[in-house]
Amino acid sequence: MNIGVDGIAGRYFEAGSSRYGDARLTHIDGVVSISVENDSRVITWGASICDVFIPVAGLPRRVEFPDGAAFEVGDTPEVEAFFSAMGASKGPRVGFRSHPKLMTLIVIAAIAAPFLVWFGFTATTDIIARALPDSVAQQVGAVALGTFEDRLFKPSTLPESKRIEARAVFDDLVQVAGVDPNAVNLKFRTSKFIGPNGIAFPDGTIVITDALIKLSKHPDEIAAVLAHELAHVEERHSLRLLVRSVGIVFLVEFLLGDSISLLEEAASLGTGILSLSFNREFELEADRRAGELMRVTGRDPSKLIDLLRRIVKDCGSGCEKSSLFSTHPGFEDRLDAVAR
Amino acid sequence: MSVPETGVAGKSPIESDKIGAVPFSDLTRHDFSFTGSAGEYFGICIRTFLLAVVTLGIYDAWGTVERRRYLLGHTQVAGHGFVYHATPITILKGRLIAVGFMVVYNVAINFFPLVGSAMGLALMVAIPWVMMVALRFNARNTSYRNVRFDFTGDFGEAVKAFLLWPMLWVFTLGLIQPVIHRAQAQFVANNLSFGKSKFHANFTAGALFGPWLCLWLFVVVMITVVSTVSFSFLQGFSAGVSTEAGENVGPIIVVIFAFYFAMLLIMFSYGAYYAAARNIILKATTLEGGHRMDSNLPPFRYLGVAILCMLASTFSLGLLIPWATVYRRRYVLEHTAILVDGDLDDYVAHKSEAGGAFGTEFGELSGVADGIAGGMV
Repeated sequence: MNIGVDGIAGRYFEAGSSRYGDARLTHIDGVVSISVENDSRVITWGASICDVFIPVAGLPRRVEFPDGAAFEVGDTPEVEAFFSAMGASKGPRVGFRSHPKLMTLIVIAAIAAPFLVWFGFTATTDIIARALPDSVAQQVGAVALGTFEDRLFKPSTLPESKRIEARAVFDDLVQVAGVDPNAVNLKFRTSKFIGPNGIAFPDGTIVITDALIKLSKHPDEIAAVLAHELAHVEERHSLRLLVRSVGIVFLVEFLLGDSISLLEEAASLGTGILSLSFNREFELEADRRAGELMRVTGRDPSKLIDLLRRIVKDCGSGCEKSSLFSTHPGFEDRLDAVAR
Repeated sequence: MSVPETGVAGKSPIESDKIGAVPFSDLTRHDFSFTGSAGEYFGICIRTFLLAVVTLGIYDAWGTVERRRYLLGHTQVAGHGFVYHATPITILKGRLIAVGFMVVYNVAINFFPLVGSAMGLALMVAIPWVMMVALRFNARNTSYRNVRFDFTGDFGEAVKAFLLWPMLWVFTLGLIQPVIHRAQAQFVANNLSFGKSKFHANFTAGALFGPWLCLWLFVVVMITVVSTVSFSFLQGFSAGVSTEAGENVGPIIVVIFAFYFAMLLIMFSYGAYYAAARNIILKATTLEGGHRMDSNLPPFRYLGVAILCMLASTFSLGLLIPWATVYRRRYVLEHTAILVDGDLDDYVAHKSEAGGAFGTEFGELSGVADGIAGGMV
């Protein structure tokens, strides 16, 4: 059959109404003609201004004309040949049968993509966090510290001598670490909510609780906690955590935008677990840096873990190993990190 | 043609049709059907998903268009399918703006809480606007027999239906839902037209009250039972058990899961109300020219379908979503019909610009359009 002359038989939908009729579409030298049956009309258009819809599985092929009329025809190999002769796009007929090499490539790329996305995500968020101007860190830190001061902290009741002792150790660590002394600020507070603890705020404020100092049995233990918190400040961990937590929500929203199941619930649980894993990653990073600072200043890095063990002495084996749901790494991993 | 307000709850469609201008017997019934297959749709979803992953999500705009064309094209009535006209580029632009906005919002809420809160408030006010432009975009980009749908609802009406009425929800403990639902359904139906011919939904909020009360009572009973049981459960535990940190986590987790399970049951049971309400609303919906819609979705069987789809999608880690989409769509369509007076030959098209896709894409991203997306055929 010479499709150039006979064309293809389908249905012609008139512009501006719901009427339609059987018609024949032909294509000769860049001109498309529609001859409508039961009607002597022949309508012609330049082929280049006809909008041939991309094929969709099981649906008729559709051509729209500039006046709003349309032609529909069942999708057969002949019709396919007709439209490709017309120069219309073949559409996304990507399948293993038609393009085995391309499909294999796509599958490999699709498997690799999540890893690349992951790498790109952590790298990008870290770059953003490090590039944020200091004023942002100051502002975020001030807000967070303000909240803690209002609700959780009370002034320290430690004897002056203990504080001077800890501050001397801190100044020593700051100097060895090469951190600008004006960028960090050590504060002593007491809090019944957070117990023996140290907190590093984004603006460089480091808070040590009285309970922690009382619980320590060796000066190096306090030094280890201070070194650990100092590393958090040095590495901008709180800002990086914030940027990553924001980023992961956005990433998941973008990837799972319109899913229709409980997967979205699962994904939001997943982002929580991921945020925890970011936290553990940063804790280990801080531990490694703390171990380094401790060794350089001639102190014993493993003292950090001694103190930690004492803080959670009733924890048992649960605290030794890292788990998916813990905020901090297990002691085994942390001991490994400080000792390295 | 006008349908008297009496033709609503409690009356069979035949009875209420007798009251209308056209006798029931003169109307030709055309059932909707879905001609696609789960296997085919699965293929499209997998291919578009892989390509979207490879292109970091960009291709999904093309994938979205192909999926919507497939679903609408295979939605058939009286021998014709629906055609989706939006172009991938329009979708992509809308999506990029929507994603950009979400990024700014998320950054603001974390770094500048005050600005973020202001944006959150603006977002709440924006919901009616999003609903309006999403409805308009989807209507104007859908055609049947080469005649496009149109949506002309304005912002004032949208604010009433999607912001003002819902505000009363809390004060009435949810009992006002039928009124809200009516306002929203009428906002959608009474502003929708096929070409130049208008749709019209004429029913009272009272018609929806029966089904809603059943669901409401069910939810109240569920909440009471779960909270009583978990309260006594927790009390039993806290008496005589050590208060060491970590020890009490077990029962709390059990209680959380019980609540979660109750929430799921409540979420699912909404499906039965949805089906009952859909029947009432569509039966009361007419299309200029003497045609009327019909829906006879069995509420509890539809509930079963919805639960099955949800479970299958979840436990297959999303692999069965295409199957679930097709299965549910086919079930709903096969219980939907249009009763045609004469034929559908003389509809006159009405050309309006559909506008950008920001609203639609934003709606999808933030989930506001979900509620109505399933409600329209």
